[in-house]
Amino acid sequence: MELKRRAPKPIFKPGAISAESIGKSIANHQTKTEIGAHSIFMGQVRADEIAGKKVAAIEYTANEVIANEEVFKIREEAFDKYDLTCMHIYHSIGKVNAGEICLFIFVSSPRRNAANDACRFILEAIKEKAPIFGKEIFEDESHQWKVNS
Amino acid sequence: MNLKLTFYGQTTELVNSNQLDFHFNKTSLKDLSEELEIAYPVLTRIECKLAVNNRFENGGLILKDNDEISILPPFSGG
Repeated sequence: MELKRRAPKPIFKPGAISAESIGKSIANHQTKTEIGAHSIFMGQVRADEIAGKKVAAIEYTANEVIANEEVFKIREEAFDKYDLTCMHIYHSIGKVNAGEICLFIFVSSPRRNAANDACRFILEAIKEKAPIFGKEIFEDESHQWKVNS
Repeated sequence: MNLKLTFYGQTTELVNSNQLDFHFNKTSLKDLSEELEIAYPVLTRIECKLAVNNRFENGGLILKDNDEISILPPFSGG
């Protein structure tokens, strides 16, 4: 299925990923009637409380060239491993407030297992391989560097 | 040779800079890694990956004048 192969596409969007853009992305798939299952992962900035201070936002920076290339490799690997129809991946760059969406992974397949398994695979691979850095900014404007657990 | 260092994430605060020129007299990426730890001992506090001209490379890579080195602390996307 060579049609599935695409050139590296930038994954970064400035600021939060809006619910409207996510809704529109879902709507855009209504014409693809070979799809029977979508799996979506959305990462949301959590207002963690650390030593009495609450996280107000995360500011993301990245080596965007390497991150786009690594995510492209992850995409290709996912298409090889699972029976997928299409895939969309977006990550925020810059500041995202607590409660807003910072990561959107949208995987579509004829069948549910492929969609679910691929979505999880992509999420874990992005966290491990994409050079993206989160700075957790507290309400008093002090900060600490996010550590993925 | 001269190398251009670009720091990311927490390393920007450890060295108090985003970009620096670095004079380098040895040859391989592994040599550079050792030189950086001597020049910036604070970097040994966290485990960093190095990329050359926006590619991950192994330590045996021979560096050239004007190569761009990314200093990447642990990733925390998502």
